[in-house]
Amino acid sequence: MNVVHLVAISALSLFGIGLYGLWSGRNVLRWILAVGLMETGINVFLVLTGWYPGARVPIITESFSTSGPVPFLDPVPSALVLTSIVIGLGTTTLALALAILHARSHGTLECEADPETAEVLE
Amino acid sequence: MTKLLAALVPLGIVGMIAFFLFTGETGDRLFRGRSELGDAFSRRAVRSEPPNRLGPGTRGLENAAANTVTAIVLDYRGFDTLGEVTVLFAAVAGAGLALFGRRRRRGKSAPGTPSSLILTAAAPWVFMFLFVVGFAIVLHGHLTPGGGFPGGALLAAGLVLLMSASGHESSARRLHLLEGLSGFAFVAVGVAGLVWRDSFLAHFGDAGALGAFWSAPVTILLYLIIGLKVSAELTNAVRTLANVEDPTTEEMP
Repeated sequence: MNVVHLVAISALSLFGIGLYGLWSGRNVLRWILAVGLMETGINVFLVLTGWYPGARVPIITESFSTSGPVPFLDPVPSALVLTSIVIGLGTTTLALALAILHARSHGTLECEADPETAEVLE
Repeated sequence: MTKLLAALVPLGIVGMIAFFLFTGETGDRLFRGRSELGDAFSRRAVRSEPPNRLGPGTRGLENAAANTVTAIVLDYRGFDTLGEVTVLFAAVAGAGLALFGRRRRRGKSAPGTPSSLILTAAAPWVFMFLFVVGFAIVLHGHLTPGGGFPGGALLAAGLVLLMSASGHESSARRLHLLEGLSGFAFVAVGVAGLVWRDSFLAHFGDAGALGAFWSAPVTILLYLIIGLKVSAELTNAVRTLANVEDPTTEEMP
């Protein structure tokens, strides 16, 4: 049990809480929040994959020899997560707009199964 | 009983993921924490050979941004960032389209609750603070954590605060103009790289000394453009979502 496991468990827990939120309710806002939580969990996990014990923040503040090992964590997952956060913001905006549309046409944020479709499915 | 089941299913899925991640070879490979690509980025040795020692003050690098993540986001993977900004634009435009369709909203939106004294009195001061800090973060993106995205979010927060304090909404046309201009400027910088160097969004001009404020000038320029674009985008998103009347009180179509 070291730091990697601890952070990985936190990230997976965030993902799991989001999954539970998706699974257990029919409220559209709740789904959007749940997806946001899952995104956060995945982002934490991705950043974690670039880390190794003793790694430093990937900002060059002291000189190092380029022939030896690099003292920084892997910057590629961090750069990917930067993109992922911004895309998450965009999708959340769009999802909120769609939630408003749903509320406008149904008068509620609850998402009920259409009785006819439900019969067919059953 | 149903609730217990609903809780058990995500728990099972997460447990399965954890099992596959922490046992066997996958975990070792995943948590090794470094890749050849990442090391090449860290050494600034993708297009050229690195100098023997790399540190503050080193000159003649292919990218002189001290922050490696910034170097990746705006130089090595700059094209991806252009796509990312485009996705943000598309999402905000899509939200506006979904909510208001093609019809133009006439006149002013319904007057909301008047702003309180505290909000109106504090807004200009907080705005000044947010403005200065936001631009500082944007302009130091190549040296410190941060950059155009968080800095732009701070600028947008200031604009939204000012909007809600004064009751005027900032003009949609101006926001759209800012979005369009900054998007165009991003592409223009990319084409300049194509003209003066060999590829789209290549870093042209003198890179400067690593760690100095005036290093990696194209990176500073791109992050400034991104900061402006993100602030316009976010203000526009908040404006769009805030302009909707309470949908539950509207008559059904």
